[in-house]
Amino acid sequence: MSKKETFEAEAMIHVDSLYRTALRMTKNEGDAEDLVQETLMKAYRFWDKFEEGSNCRAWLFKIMTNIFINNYRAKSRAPQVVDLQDVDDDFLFGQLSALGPSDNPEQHFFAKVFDDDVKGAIEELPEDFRLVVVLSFLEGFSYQEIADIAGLQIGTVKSRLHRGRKLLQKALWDYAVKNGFIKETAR
Amino acid sequence: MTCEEALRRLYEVIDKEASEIDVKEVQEHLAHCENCMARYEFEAMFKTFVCDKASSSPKADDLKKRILTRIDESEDKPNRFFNRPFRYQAVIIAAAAALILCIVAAFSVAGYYRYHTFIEPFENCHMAGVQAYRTSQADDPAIDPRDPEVLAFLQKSIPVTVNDSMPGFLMIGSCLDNIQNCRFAHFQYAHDQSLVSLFVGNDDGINLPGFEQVTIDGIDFYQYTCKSCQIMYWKENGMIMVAVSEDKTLELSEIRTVLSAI
Ligand SMILES: [Zn+2]
Repeated sequence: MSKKETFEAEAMIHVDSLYRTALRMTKNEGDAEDLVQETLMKAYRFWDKFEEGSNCRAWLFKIMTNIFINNYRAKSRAPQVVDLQDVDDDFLFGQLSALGPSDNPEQHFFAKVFDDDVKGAIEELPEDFRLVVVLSFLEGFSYQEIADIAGLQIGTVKSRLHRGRKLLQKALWDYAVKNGFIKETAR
Repeated sequence: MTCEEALRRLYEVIDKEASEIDVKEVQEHLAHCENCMARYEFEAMFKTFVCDKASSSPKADDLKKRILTRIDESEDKPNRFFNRPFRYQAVIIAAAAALILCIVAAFSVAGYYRYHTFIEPFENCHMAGVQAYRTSQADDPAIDPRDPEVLAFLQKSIPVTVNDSMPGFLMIGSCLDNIQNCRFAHFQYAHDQSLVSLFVGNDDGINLPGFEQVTIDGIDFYQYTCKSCQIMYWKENGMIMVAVSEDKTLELSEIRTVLSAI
């Protein structure tokens, strides 16, 4: 097979999933398409250097993450400050449990929230947390793979994922309350 | 196992990252602890919920076609600089038009350079370590000892020391390049996981038109930016320093800090 044929067979099959992550990270279709294009062009340039048999999908995500961080991330380099002090680990679980066991509030909650609302809540996460949440939840990468892709320590991956989950649950709860899906009760 | 210990392992178990022993112990705890069981079930449900709701995305078939077309185009044209996204081709075509003028001008103006004269040696750099770095993307670059010929060139003709290690910069390698019959010492660095080249040469009236002037810390820098590359040059004490970065970096002027004793 030619270089282009092997590239099509092994790398191009990941375009859909790269595009999904690119959409969540750039928050718009134009930038997401540019980002995926740049990723694949770069991967093609270095295809000779890609070690056959190693994880092509993770390699592509790593290239894309590097390009995103260098060219697309929010211009400000200031560290992202996230205040989670008043949010308990079991915030959403606690809120829903407090609604009482009879009317099955979890099911109600999960059924009411739409796809676009979840996507929107993910996009609202600060970039550092969004990246690990997307790579873990949507793309199913392991902690170690995420650490390699994002150039992070594994402990950082765990803590960002933990905080990302908390932020996501809080955002979805606020959203459900705001839209009247759920009547907030004092905990 | 206590409830606290069971909950500490919550996400690792749900994300299938916990060891077999941990999973077994957690399961034993959950079998007789309703509270923890409810929490585990909820968090598992939450993860499934987010995956289900957010995993769908539009099929990228058009995008795939466009990428394959660009790959075909890139095969036709070995010079990588010309394989940029379409919207930059306009810039490049304009530049090509200017280049024709430049060839004419080159006969009358000494050292009349275009930006791409520096991009070519940057992109086609064959120094050992660079390819390894480009592949590994900063994990484990094979660091090339500095080329003795380059050092000799620097010591002989240029009053400058190039630092091996500066915070934020990782030296990958060095070589000598001939650019339009001028000798340049070429250093390649990793900066913020981007490749950056620093060309150091004698300024014999070298000119790069079309660059935007910016003044940083009292020094005049000249920069040229396209989406996937950035070039910045400045002149000090009869020398010209040209920095080229593959990815756009906000702090390219920082590479000045790797030079000392100018
Ligand atoms: Zn328990």
